Amino acid sequence: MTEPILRLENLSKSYGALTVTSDVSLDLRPGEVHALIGPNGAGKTTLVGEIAGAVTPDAGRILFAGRDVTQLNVSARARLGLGRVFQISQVVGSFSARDNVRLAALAHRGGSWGLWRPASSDAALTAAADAALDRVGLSARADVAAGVLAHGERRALELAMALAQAPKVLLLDEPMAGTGRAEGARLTELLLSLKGTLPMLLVEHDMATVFALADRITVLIGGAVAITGTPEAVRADPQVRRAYLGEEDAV
Amino acid sequence: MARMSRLRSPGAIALLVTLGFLAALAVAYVQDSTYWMATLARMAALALSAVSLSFLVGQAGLVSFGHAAPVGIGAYAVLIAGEFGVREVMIVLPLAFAAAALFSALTGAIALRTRGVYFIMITLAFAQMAFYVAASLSAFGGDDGMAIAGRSTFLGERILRRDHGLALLAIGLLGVGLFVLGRVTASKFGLVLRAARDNETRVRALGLATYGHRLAALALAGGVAGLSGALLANQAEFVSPSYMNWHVSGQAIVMVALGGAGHLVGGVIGAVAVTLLDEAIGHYTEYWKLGLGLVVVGAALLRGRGLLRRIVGGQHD
Ligand SMILES: Nc1ncnc2c1ncn2[C@@H]1O[C@H](COP(=O)(O)OP(=O)(O)OP(=O)(O)O)[C@@H](O)[C@H]1O
Ligand SMILES: [Mg+2]
Repeated sequence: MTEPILRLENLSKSYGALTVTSDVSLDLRPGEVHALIGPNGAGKTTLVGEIAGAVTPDAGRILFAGRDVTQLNVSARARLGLGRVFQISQVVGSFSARDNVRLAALAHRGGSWGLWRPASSDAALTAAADAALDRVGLSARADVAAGVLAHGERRALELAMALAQAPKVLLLDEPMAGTGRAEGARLTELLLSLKGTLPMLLVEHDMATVFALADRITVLIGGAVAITGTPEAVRADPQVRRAYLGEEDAV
Repeated sequence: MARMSRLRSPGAIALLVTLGFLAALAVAYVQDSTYWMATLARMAALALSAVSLSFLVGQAGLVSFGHAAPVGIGAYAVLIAGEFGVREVMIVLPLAFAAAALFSALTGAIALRTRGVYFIMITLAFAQMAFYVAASLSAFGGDDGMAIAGRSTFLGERILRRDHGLALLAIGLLGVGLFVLGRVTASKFGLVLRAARDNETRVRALGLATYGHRLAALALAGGVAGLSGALLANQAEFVSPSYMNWHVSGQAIVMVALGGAGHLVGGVIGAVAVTLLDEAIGHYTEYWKLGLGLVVVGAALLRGRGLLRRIVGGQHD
């Protein structure tokens, strides 16, 4: 079996008496889409935060590309190739959509200390930004300030930024949440086209999307892993049906 | 669209401001009004300081309440160099820039560990320290300050002796300062700086470190403020700790807020407005600045965003 690109070993995190991550171990293999599902408050976003470096776990290790990154901060992990799409959009509201993606492409391509030439005059940077915008279907909205984009468009912009960052692993926290039907379908299509080339950890509530994309699924309940397995195994698991799929009533 | 953006380019804006000041200077020169030539020199110097603060507040999102410190350090550079017999502009100005930039970088290295209101307090505290250090320099006038040995010379020529010569230098430096800071704002460095102002979480998640950029911005703005101080010292031919007084820092913030922090040129507008108001009503009451300060703060509160959000809202995760 191939070496996983990302591995979590016995991660734990509590806020006071509330255990949000409880001895979580899971891994992400090259090219794999690994879905992370669970009811509201199960600790999915917290776990993504721990992987990205924004939340410090109380115990456990995080290995990324064969390296222990547990002690690294957010930007150091991002430079190693961890891209993140936030559950609550994190874009630069006063920037145009294009400038947001330019920023992301700049992070990947280097040159953030360029003091003299206008950022907008770098043709390669602009081309990279426009290509990413095109991929998520935002080309027509490139000059619109991110702060006034519709919610769904902002989700797409987040994804474009993550792509422009050319990550080795994509952490997606409900990328489709709040998007319209057409936008959601387009984003699912896009993720499908990335599948196999870019390993993704996908947090998603919509079961149709999860089953369309995931190679494996981990179910998180009360901060702990209830089961990890193929979509079929997870669908069949009685505990999951009772605790999660049943109440979702989606499968 | 293309024509609009060309008009808004750093070069065009710097040129327009320079030409505007030059026209005013020409009128004062023809009228032989030394009063207005001196006022224009001071106005351009204050505008340069306000533009550098606008770069920090508006572009980098760093509300420094200690901007008078690098200004004063630039002024002291002129005084102290003069005492050692050095009066050449080509030496004194780089010296003023370097000394002020160094101060801003060293204090900034610590201040940048804080955000929001704490950043304001710590920059104020550092400026107060600079104030008291200056007041303790008994060899250079102590509390009372002292007259500079003489106005700076340019390549040995005493062309700054006359007020229009000094005004020309101040206007030239203001133009260059606007142009350079405008270029930096539009550069990739500026892109990161502005992004970090709006959403630090996102910038970090992209793998961009913000600390170095902010420190460089502080040093650059501090250096430009130092140039402004060197000009002011030449204009007044006198330097004292009062250059670094906290209400000078406050006045610089008022200028930026009044002219609009969204664009560097707002610093020029604010500086011109405050200087003109000062000339017009400063003779009647010294307290008008307090009133102006309240009006500006009130306007910021009413708008409920902009400067105020920058002050209180700097705490991302
Ligand atoms: N900083 C914090 N301090 C205290 N409690 C927190 C903090 N962050 C999260 N929590 C709590 O931890 C639990 C897990 O939150 P988390 O956001 O990780 O859940 P989630 O699985 O992403 O939920 P959702 O599906 O609603 O996005 C919640 O009960 C939440 O209130
Ligand atoms: Mg969540």
